[in-house]
Amino acid sequence: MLEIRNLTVDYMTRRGRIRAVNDVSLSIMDSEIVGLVGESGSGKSTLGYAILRLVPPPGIIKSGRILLNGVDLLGLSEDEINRIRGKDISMVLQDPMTSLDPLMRVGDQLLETIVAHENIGKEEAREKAVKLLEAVGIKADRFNDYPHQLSGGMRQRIMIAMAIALDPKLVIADEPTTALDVIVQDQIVELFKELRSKIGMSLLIISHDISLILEISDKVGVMYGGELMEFSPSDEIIREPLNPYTQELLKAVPNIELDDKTLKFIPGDPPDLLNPPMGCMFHPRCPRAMDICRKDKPPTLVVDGKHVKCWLYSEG
Amino acid sequence: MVSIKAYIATRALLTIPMVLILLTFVFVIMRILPGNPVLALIGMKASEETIKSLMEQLGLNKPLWQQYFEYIYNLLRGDLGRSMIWGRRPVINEIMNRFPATIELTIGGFIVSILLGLLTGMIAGVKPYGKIDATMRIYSIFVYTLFIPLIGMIFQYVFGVYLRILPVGGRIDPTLLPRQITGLYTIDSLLTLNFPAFISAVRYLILPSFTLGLVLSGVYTRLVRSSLLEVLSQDFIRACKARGLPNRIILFRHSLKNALIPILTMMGLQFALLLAGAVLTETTFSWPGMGTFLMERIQYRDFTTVQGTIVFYALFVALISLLVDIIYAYIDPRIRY
Repeated sequence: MLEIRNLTVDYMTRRGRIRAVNDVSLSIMDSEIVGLVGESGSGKSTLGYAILRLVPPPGIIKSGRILLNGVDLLGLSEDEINRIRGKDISMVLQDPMTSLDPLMRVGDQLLETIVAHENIGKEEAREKAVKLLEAVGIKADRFNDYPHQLSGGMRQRIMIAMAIALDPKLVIADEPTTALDVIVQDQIVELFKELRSKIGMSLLIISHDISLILEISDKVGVMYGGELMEFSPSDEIIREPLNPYTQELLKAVPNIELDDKTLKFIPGDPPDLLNPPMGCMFHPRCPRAMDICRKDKPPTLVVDGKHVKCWLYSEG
Repeated sequence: MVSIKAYIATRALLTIPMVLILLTFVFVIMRILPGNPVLALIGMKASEETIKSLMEQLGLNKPLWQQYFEYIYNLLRGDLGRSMIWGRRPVINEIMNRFPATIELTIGGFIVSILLGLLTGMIAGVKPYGKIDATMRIYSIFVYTLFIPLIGMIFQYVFGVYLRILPVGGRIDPTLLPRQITGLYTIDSLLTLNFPAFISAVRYLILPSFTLGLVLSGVYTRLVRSSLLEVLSQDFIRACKARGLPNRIILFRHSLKNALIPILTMMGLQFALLLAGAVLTETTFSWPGMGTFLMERIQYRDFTTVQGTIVFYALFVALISLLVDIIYAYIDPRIRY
């Protein structure tokens, strides 16, 4: 349904060019939940924004294609892409506390979104808005509330109601639970799952939290330093992670059932994207780095539907 | 809504010490200045007795503290006293004869400065850091340095003398004077459905309003620009874009309304500046308002009139800032609840 091919996004900063997304290819099928995981600065959010062509300046989409049912979004005019935003592809942002206009009633913000894309009367749109609120678990009498009168979880529900208002093919959720407490996080994850089975939209969920991503996603993409290190079905990643970065990431997940309660982490720092390392992005921190990793970038290999970018598997 | 009422009451009470302090300043300054109304009226050559009897009539022979407290006492009863010169008319009448003219000019200048400021600030803020933005920022500094009488005279020459499309002085064509209700000719002519008078009043208002408004618009340019830039970088604007809302709606319904909040404070403060700027504009355009009147009465040391005018100005500015706060609550629901 959505296919990203060789996408490269650069930020042209004053200190130099930062390649935030480097030659990433991935695809999302109908009603599929794809999770994108990686640490801060790995380019996962930028990738999400790039799909809607909303990479903030000084970012530019350098090359690649983003195909929505065969139509290249990067080739559309500003008007055409604006008709797709919110309608075919919508987005849920990270912080629900700042994602709503503080001066406007939440119901009106929902209405506005519907009216912007659908040619329907005010009454009809209002009915639809109330139904949407109920679908995300908000009572209709909250329609006339202002954002500051709602809790963080409720605001995120409103954002989700807006995102599903026009039956989108794909919803991009950028860290949708990061700003919420754990209980509410769980409710939001459940809501996403429920909506997916009810509405049948695809979901691209972006998070630094690998346990959340593994819990909700059908497929998982692991990003590091702007590159997609691994892209495979979730159960495969749990069963047999291929890329050493994925392996290290999974080792770092705290497990309360283990006796050893010390917090595991990956030694070293994320790559400086102004001066990226030669060869593989991860080699300075990789426990299994070889000579070739320091010289050349690994190619992406496809093994039984699993994509991995690592020299370990180059001959296999 | 009880809190709003309590708030207004508190604000009104706070106005009292503010006016008293201001009044004390003016009272002292007027009396430190050499000269007094008697000398200004009858000159240095008058006999001792004449001067003495006039001083007694005006109450200026009493000790200063007594004059001060008597004045305050009368003021608290709502009595601004009588003018100390020429016919000794009640100060309140003197003010009411001229204040509407100043208000009309101030509102005109206010509207022009806001419109120009919003326009230039928006143009600069929507496409920041470019050539247009730089031009707008130069505009804001340039107009702020302009001297009102100079720019007023240039306008008078270009539009009044050279192009002959607008009058250069006065408030209205005297043959079209509308029936007085509020004293604001534009309002009065509309209330009495006297359209020729309305058109005349507006035509006379254009040049002075532009002179005053142009100079004060630069402040808004910068403020609107920075406020808009801040709002445009916020998450909810990005969320609006991701929802595919048309740019026009994002700019006017979401960005500008949010950007307006800090600008509103400035509007309240600027209003006081406008009143002051109006003095110069009135002089340039022979506008029969408070400006020329106040200058004249200061020269004649008409103590009571000057004091009364200052009290009046202070109350008016306090009223405007209260109004700004109420508008705040209306725009921003976070304050209302």
